[in-house]
Amino acid sequence: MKFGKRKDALPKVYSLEHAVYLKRQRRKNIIITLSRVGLLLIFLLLWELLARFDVIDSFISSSPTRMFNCFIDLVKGGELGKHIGVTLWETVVSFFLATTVGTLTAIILWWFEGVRKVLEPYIVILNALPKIALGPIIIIWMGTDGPAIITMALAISLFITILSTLSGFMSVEKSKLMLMQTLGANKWQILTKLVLPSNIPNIIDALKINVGLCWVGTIMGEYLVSHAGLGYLIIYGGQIFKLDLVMTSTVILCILAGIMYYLVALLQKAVSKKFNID
Amino acid sequence: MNAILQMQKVGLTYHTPKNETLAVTDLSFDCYDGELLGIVGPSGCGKTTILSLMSGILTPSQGEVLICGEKANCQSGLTGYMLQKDELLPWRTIMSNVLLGLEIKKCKTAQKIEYAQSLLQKYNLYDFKDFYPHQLSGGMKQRVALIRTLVLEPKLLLLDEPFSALDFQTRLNVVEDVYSIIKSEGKSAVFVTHDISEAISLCDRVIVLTQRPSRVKDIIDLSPLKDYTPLKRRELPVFSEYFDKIWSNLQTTKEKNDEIRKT
Repeated sequence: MKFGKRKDALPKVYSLEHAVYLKRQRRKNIIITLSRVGLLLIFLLLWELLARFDVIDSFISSSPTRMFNCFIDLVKGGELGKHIGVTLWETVVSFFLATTVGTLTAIILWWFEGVRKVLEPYIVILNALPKIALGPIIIIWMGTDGPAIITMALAISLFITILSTLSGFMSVEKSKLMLMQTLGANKWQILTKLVLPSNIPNIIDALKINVGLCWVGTIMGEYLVSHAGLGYLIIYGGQIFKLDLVMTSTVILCILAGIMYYLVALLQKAVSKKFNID
Repeated sequence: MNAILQMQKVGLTYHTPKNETLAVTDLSFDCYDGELLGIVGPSGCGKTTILSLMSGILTPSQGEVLICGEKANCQSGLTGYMLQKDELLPWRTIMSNVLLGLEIKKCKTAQKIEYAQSLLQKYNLYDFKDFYPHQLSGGMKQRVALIRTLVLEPKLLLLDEPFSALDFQTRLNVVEDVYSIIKSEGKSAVFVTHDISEAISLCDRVIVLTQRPSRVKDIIDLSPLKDYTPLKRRELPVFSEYFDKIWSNLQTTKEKNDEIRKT
């Protein structure tokens, strides 16, 4: 009997060589983290100094302190919460809609071969279409508020979700399908016991892509039509030539998108652990 | 002796938009209760097709496949199919992989679970029941796959080159294991392979097939070897005689085929 692959067979006391190796690894990680933070600090410092000494025109390029002041003003004005709330709401709703509707559609297309064959070219074309071209139609049909923006974000993220999830469903190993058949599984059992579990990594990858796409869609939607939101702040700042506002909103957007991506990554970690995916 | 499996003039044609291919034709043989029946043939002769017919995944174009007198049907649970690779689901533990078939058949009773546990115990896998497949060696995984099949208590096991994915040393051991498992559980089995020596070391009778469309070329009785285990059989002087017999059988089908191609 082989025990070589058991995890708990690892020795608990390390050799000196291994301790040195671990130490070196740890140091490497610390240097990488410090460099990351340092890069940002140097960038901000340079930006600030160049603006202070009038090497660059801070009216056009803004500067970290100006952005900070702008941020304080926004907070004091009580507007910022509303704008962030609106954008976040639109993004999160479109993210959930794109994911659930996309996955459900992929399941339906997987189940019914005829429907899949009929609809596939349409989905491919809709996916290839530059969604911004739908702007006028969306405004006329959906109005100039949240629903229009969510529709835009959906238009951008839905089709790619369907296509990537479906291709994952279709590429389940033939031999595993045969196993299910030999065990006498029906279609529902094949779906729930084989296709869905084996596609969890795929679906999570689709989520990660969707986070990005839904932000693109929401901001694009807000550029087209909106009365509030970070996209609105950016376009408004641009129109009145207030670069401080544009830059500040962009930075806030960066942070929010980063947090949302991080949350999905956390979900991925938890799910991978549960389903024992490497 | 009782025939568990009856193949009666079975034929199968595959249809694709470009072509129709006669894969097997006029195939008639039986597999008796408690027998290990080997099927050997040149590669591409439709061995997997024959097993699919027996398991009921495919329906024959001509003739009939009868399991215990009933028409083969993949819902019946009379056959248990063991594939080339173990095909364990990586997100399930060993125990839950073993219980997969019971879940699908909706008969995961306490009694059956106990049976599954006893099988794992018997074949030295119980300590690993909460492990995941990637933590086990290839030979162990193949044994788990066999237990997953046995838990459903099939009347007839269908083995599709179940050792071909293993390295040589593991393979000899697993053949030995599988042989003793099948014999001690008193199962009948059809074992398909292109490896002649594996067929001789494992089976009670070997059917040699011709090239596509496959027919029965010869049936070789190995009952004189029945008291020897696979590894012991390999040491017997008659082993090479049987080997030569099957080998020449396969060669003649090949030559005939080459001639047909030339003309």
